Amino acid sequence: MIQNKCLGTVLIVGETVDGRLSAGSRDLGNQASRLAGQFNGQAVGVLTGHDIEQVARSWSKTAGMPVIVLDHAQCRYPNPPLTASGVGALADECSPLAVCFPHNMRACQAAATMAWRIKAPCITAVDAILKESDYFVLKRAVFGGKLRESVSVGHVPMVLTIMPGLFSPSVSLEVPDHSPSVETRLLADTNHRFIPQGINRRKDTDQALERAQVVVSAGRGLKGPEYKGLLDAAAGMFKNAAVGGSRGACDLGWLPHSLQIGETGRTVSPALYLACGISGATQHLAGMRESRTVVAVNTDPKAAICNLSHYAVIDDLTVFLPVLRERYDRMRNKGDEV
Amino acid sequence: MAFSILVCIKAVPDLASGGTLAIAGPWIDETVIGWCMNHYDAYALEAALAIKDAATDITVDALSAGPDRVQNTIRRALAMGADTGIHLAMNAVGRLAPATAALSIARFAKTKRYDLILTGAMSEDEMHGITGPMIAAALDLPCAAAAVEISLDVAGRSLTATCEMEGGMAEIVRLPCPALLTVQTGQRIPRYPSLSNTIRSRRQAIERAVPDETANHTPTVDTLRVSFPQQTTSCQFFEGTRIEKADRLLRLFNDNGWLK
Ligand SMILES: Cc1cc2nc3c(=O)[nH]c(=O)nc-3n(C[C@H](O)[C@H](O)[C@H](O)COP(=O)(O)OP(=O)(O)OC[C@H]3O[C@@H](n4cnc5c(N)ncnc54)[C@H](O)[C@@H]3O)c2cc1C
Repeated sequence: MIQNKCLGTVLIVGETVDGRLSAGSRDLGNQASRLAGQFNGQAVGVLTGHDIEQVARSWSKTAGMPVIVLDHAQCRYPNPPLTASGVGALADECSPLAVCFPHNMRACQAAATMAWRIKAPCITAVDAILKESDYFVLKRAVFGGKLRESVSVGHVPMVLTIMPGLFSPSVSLEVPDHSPSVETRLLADTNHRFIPQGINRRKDTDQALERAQVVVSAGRGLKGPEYKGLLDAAAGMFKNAAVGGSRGACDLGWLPHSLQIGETGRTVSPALYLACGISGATQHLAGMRESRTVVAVNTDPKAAICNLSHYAVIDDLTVFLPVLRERYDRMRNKGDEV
Repeated sequence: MAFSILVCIKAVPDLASGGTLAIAGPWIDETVIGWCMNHYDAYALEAALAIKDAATDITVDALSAGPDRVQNTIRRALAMGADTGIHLAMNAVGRLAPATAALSIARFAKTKRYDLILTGAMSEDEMHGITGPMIAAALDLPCAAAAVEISLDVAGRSLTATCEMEGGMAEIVRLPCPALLTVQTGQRIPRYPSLSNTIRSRRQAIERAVPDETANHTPTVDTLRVSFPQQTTSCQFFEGTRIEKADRLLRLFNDNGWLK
């Protein structure tokens, strides 16, 4: 199938984890047709895993693209080196315009490995693509979202990792009159130097964060664990609140890792997200961007979190939060409205 | 059995201690900023030092590629406990593309036959997350990304790494050594330099190597510009005194029925 689409292919590389499509791959599939359109090409899906034909069919159908399954027993769990060699071989075969992975650390590994082998440029965490006369401009966040970088690439193929939601919702609404084809290729048994052993899943002991109406969340701006009480005091003003944090705060041991919100932590969508001393790195936003109202307390008006926030207070949280609580207590004691 | 580890560290603009970014030409103004060790690399170095603490006959080399200013970061690595500091002197001005840095580091590392190479999962400034895997590709080493736990079997010359994934999952993989891991933050907070190591680091010479940059075939990616993100949402900044701001916020919370 790939042979007659040799001109202008854009490979969309997804993965399965223990037989299930990963969330990032689902999202990338939803973006596939628009993404390919941006390159004036046609999307061809590539899905790695083991015994995944059904998953591949449904991915192919929702994304509206043919899919090539790269099957290997050692791809039951993500396997970047096997993915890199399998996709690299496909790239040799069909000379794609671009090879797109979802953005995560192991996809960055697969992308970098394959780009190195096929001598292609590799750009990660791309969140916008523009076509100029004879080159492409790709945009991405740098410095934790403090700045945006625009890079130009004139070389094809280019190997990219794509941020979630770049072109979504972009599922084509026309139902194709025939299901796109799905073809399985068995990967050669070549790599014995990366041996996946299994997956650990964190068990969240309670769902308080997910169920809370208000999440009071702190980052490195908290300055130290001695200020943690300010969060509890702020949370205490609300009917149904829970405390969470950024990875920055959790890595420093100020808050337990089980309270980390973001891509590699928990996902919350409360009515109010009170982000205190959090810069708003994309990995953090991934876990809270569905919040209905976001209020930032931050010393830096240029912090990326303010872009997503509805309201912001530019102040030192260690000074502001006590004042907030004090005004709340006063309001309650007086029984009057503020 | 001797076991040698190379940790690759990058000097990045120090924004934690109050530095702010200014734009100059297509990149930031590097003359108005201080430099520090990339956060992720500090975790990689800590992982190496923890391995060294737990066994005998393990050496840890810390390497940084770049202009002379990276030497301060190398000294910091020595002060934390690295045995040797190595400066790959490159490119006096401007940035090193990940592929360029990877190729030079790989060429250097090849001569030293390290058993394990560690890098940070990404750099805080450019956020590519590909330099480590490219070094591994150049050296044809097995590689795993975003390791949060490393358990090393020195005698068996292999390691097991727990690699972080999204949403609380982690993948466990086994790799034979020599291998390369990129290290994710979290497990062990990087140590502060000890007094004795700090004194030693001031006296110790940093090994200097000048890589051959001529046969560099890596495809170029040019930065056209950087810019401050546009204020895309209509974020409303509360003005006034601290008390006024607190009261306005409370009114908002109250009107929505969130307050007790
Ligand atoms: C693969 C990967 C996965 C990741 N997963 C996650 C994840 O799941 N969740 C997550 O959060 N991060 C994650 N990260 C890390 C992320 O990139 C950021 O490093 C992290 O979110 C930064 O945390 P922070 O906002 O607390 O710290 P910083 O970025 O240091 O921001 C601190 C903020 O506090 C402000 N501030 C400082 N002092 C004060 C004060 N006194 N009062 C008020 N404001 C103040 C500053 O202006 C700044 O905006 C991940 C990174 C990688 C590479």
